Amino acid sequence: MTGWLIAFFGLFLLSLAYASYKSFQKNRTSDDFMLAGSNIGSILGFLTFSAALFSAFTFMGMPDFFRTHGVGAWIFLGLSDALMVFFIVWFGYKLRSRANEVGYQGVAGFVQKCYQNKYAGILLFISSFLFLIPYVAIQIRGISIFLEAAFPGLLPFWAWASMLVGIMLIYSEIGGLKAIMYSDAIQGVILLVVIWIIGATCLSLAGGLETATQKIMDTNPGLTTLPGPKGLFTTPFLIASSIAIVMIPVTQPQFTTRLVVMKSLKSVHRMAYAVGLFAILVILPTAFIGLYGAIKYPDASTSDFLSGALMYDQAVPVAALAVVGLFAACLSTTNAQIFALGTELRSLLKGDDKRTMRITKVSIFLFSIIVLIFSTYMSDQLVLLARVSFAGTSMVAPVVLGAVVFKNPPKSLMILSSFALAYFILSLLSWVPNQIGGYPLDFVLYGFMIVFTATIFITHSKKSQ
Amino acid sequence: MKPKTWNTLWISVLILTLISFIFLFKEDKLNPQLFGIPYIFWIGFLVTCLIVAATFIASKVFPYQETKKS
Repeated sequence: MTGWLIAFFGLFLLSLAYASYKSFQKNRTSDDFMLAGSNIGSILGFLTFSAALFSAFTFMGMPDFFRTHGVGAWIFLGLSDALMVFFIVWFGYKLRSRANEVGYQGVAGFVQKCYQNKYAGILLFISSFLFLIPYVAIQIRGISIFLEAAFPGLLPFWAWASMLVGIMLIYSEIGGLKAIMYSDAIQGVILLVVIWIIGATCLSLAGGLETATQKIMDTNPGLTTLPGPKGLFTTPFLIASSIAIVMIPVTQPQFTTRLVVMKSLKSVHRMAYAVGLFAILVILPTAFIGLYGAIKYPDASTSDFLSGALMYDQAVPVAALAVVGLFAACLSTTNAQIFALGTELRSLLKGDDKRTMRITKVSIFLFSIIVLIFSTYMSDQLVLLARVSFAGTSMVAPVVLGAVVFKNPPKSLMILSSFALAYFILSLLSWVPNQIGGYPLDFVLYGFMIVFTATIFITHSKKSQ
Repeated sequence: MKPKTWNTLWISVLILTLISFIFLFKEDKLNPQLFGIPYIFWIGFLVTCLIVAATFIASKVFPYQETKKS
């Protein structure tokens, strides 16, 4: 195992070093560093978007989600991702058109310019900071705990986490967004290959899809229907999850920026359906791993199930590849998110280019330290915390949508988003109930926001005419 | 490309989504199974594939051009 691991890790680190070398330019501007020269083609765009989207959350969280909540997990993520890529066709066009008019350095700076109001930018930055930091931290915690369990006594949890953040900082500081995108491309391919090898092995160990589902129907039939044995996948939960995921490109800055830096609208559209296909291909094997887990590890803890299914039940080279794949998946998402926070901060800064870039680089380092500290205090609910992150940032969607649709967007959208964001945060702090009338709070907030946003849009359109 | 095709497409996707959540994704519904696969799994998979196919078509029929950099 150690030999295989050293070989695969060596190859992986070499490819990252090559990506950093290829992306390094001496006299680059901050736009070259932070926005990769805004000239990204379809293939690189699709791989970087996919790698940033599918992470440790997919690799570790989704199999466990299928194992404990059943086949409804497909609707939760697969269908929602499909709706998201369809939405990108229209949103990518509106966003890029508006970004071409007013300029783009980050979502926060972009909405600040569109609304000609500082508070709009600050609101976007606050929502990104509050909900991306815990999401990044949970990913790092997830992979570090897995590695600590997989290699007992080799390195403590915090050392694995520091190693991961250290590698990410080195190549992102050398090559900027371009290095991150190249490394994402490598990590995306590794993720897809590894997850299929493991998924196919698990399916074969379970006796094939038909036999596996038959066994589950006999032992835990709740896993084969909605809302799942624990009652999680109710219709309001699935609808709210879909809205939160569809809004990812609108309000999670690492994705919004990727849509803007693509070469052309055509590249964005090609990227959209490619990500949809990638989503189907990546989520399907996680279902196989989850179904296998429901048969072989029905009552095991998450870490026991994952170390068993991903490592000990696999052939030695596959297990070593799985470790590297997990590391790669986690790295690609965390680097995208931490770098995006730097981009957002930079978009709000004024002053000369060198000073701005220096502050941004220091801020990326500081964000990484905050994430490291945070990762020691998080819980282990990977998927549900990811969903909270998507839902939290989606509360500012009306502000971004207003900015891309209107030349002079109505300020009332800022009030609406501020209220929704504040209420959502209060519910997480348990200061207000997280259910209203028996429905999940985010489901009710989305209903409220859809009605008010539509009303504001219609009245503002009439006024503008 | 005419906006009519694009409008028909996005309205169809919206209707398919609403139908799916309201009528297709029913709680406690196990049958009809497809090759032994539970109903929710294959119907969810099918709707997902249809929407990804619609995204592919949308990329071909999308009628608008982005504004050039000012």
